[in-house]
Amino acid sequence: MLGVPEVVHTLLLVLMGLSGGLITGTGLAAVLSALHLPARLSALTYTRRANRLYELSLTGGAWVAAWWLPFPFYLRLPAATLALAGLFTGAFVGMLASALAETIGVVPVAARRTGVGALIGKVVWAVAAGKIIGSLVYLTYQPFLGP
Amino acid sequence: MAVIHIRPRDSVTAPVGVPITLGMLAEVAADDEALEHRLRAEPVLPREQPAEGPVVVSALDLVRVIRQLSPGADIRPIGPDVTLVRSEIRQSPVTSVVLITLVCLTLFFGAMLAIMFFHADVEMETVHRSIHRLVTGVEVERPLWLSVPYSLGVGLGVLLFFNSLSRRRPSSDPSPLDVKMHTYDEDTDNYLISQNHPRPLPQKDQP
Repeated sequence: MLGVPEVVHTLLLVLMGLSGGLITGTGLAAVLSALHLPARLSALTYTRRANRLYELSLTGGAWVAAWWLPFPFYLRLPAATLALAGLFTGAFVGMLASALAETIGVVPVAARRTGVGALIGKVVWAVAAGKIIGSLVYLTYQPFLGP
Repeated sequence: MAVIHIRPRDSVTAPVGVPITLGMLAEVAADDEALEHRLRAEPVLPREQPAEGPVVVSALDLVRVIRQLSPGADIRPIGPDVTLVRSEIRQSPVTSVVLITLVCLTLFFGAMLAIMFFHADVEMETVHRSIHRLVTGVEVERPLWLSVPYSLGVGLGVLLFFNSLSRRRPSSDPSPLDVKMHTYDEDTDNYLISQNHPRPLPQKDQP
């Protein structure tokens, strides 16, 4: 392209790739951290001494998924092992959704407007049940799955 | 007249059953060193119950305790006006390991899913192919010169954010996770203080 030597192309690509990846990685960590997700998990389980381990877990997960982009690999494990990954990814998404709702402040506003007050603990169960049913319906009901 | 300064602490965490002394609840400074030591060692909260919730102690109650021990002293409290006393949670090693494993797995698979969501959402493969064509003018199926450094960068980015790369970390800045934990703890303490009225301390008979 435009008579520029190939080395320059390669260097440019490497630079763009590295900086792009750095932004994606810091962005992911920043969003999760802003939602207090790792901090909350650590505080609720009284395991704050394992914080370094939690940071490494996040890094490891992001890294495995990122390496899958250039080098798609296949573990060839039985399909039942997916239940484990499904359970933990599901738990994570559930926490992410709740943390997001909490950061925006939906629950306190809704509780105040409707005056549920002390019932708020029960409402959380309703929200959780709704999420489970919604997820199941979306992932199994044919019209949502497309042709 | 003896001047005694006390500075109540924001919060104290102690195992259940350990009596809370004045020195645990507040910093004490007195002219008389012997008096200072005696005041520090004075048990204020017995805490015999097996599982006790958080207790809020008012600075005024601390002043009353000191006034009993050292009548006529000029007591000057500075700093927080209440102290939160929390019970330390004892966890068996097995519980700890199980909980830590669960949290690690959730964060690992969650971060994995989040990155894959993001890549699928923005069609990262297509974008990488387009960038490769933009830079080199050649269309390739797998632009490895771009996506390998990119993948390297994703992991480095997370480490960079959590400040885990620096070797002299203990002496330098804390990680954002540590800071978030602190914010969370402070919010929790403030909530507990607002929900629990200062408990009157058990009165001792005048000697």
